[in-house]
Amino acid sequence: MKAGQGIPVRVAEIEAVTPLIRRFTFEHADGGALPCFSGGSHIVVEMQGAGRVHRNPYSLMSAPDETRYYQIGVRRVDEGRGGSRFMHEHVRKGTVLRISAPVNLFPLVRTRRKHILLAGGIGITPFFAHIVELRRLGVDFELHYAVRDASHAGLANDLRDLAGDRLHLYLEDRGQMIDMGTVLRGQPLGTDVYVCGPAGMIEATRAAARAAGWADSHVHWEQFSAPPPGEPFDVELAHSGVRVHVAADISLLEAIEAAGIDAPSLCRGGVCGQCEIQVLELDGELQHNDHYLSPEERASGSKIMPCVSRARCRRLVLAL
Amino acid sequence: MLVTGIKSMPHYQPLQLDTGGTHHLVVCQGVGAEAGRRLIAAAAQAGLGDACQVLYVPAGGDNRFATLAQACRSAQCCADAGHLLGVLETALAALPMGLRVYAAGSEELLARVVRVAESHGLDPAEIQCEQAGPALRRVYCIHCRAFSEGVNTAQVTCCGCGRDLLVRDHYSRRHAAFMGVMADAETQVAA
Repeated sequence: MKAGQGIPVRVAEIEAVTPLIRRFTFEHADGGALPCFSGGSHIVVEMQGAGRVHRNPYSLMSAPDETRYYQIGVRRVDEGRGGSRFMHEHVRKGTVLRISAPVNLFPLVRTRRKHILLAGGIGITPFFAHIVELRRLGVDFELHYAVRDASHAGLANDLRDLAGDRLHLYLEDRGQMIDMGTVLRGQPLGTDVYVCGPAGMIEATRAAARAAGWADSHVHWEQFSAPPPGEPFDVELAHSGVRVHVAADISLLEAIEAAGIDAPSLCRGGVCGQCEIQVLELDGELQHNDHYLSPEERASGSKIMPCVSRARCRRLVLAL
Repeated sequence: MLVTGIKSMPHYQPLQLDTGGTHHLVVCQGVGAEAGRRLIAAAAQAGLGDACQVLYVPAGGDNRFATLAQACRSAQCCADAGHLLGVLETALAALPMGLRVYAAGSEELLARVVRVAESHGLDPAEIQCEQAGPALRRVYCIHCRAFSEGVNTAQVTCCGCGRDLLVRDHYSRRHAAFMGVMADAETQVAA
């Protein structure tokens, strides 16, 4: 989403659903209907911060066919780059923001016969819309949701209404952990597993699925990365003939956008592959932080995903 | 007309043990028993012999079940293709995730096995097919909708309407047949 584009929305409601998570309800600022979407979709929210623009992806947690409003859950990350803090501290009821149209990188595979949904903490957000869809389709599912303790389980009541006894809630302070091996064992043919949560949880799920003989095509995960800060560096954009400075706490994509160059992007979290750029020259090393490029592509040093990845280099020339 | 690189053209490959699976179901027909035997041998070598199950149906009076029964403890010989598909259906209904299905036989049997497996939620990553026996095509006439069986030529006379059909590489998984279109449709015929 480029500056000034996208859909203008007004914040209609803000709820503190856990000590760290706020649920924001957006309505179209012009009063119209918002696009309907499919379960697992996310939007990018544009925030005008002090001196810089934040653009963060958030999963839509309202019902997919609800076009009067959208809801997102924002977990406050104090050590982060400031997007979620901005949402928590500066966004009020009535604030107007811009969002992108929904994009789905985490859809349900509709031909499957059963779906296992695994969530940790804020990773629960995409599953709300999934569950609405699964209930409408009448397809079997299980939801396993792990939170730190009872005070962080504020969304469990809403989930209980949606999922009934298909919800399995785990309170980690009571030593309750999701045992991926047990959850996946003996599931009928045509079952898929979807996981959204911390990196360790995603890894554990993928390992358990592999151990249980599941083909990779039945295992799905979503993990948006925030672009990690790093050393500042300069980049030359060959086609635009522009030299751009990338400061320590700004992503390469953000620096390119701030220079007024039109760079393609979609998820801004290293997942979708839309922002891939060819590396023409490099004197130094690329720091890949995406979940998109294959190990071989990373090693080749010929491609970079500017939304989350950086370089430690004396010289970097990109085909943009 | 003879378009190459048509994506629907089925690709068959020699069966190869997928050690990622926890249970291996081998379906073979006629001379496809040889492909099944090779797979069972590979599984035994990998210590997965007990995770294998074989379903066999003879073809054209050629019964090679003995070689399979010798190689695998859980082997069953079926009377005909219909019986085999019924047994397959029952087996799939009871088996959990972790299964791999391997099939070796005629193109028509492969298509039917794949359809049953897909109806139980298996996807291409869990199903392998090897064509065994004579390479004969089933051809669907797009004009009269008849199926001509056992075709091994690029042009065939439709068993339904008698038109000369050109057999394209365009394959329908639903019909388990190749598309046949009138070969001389643009040639004017005296009325």
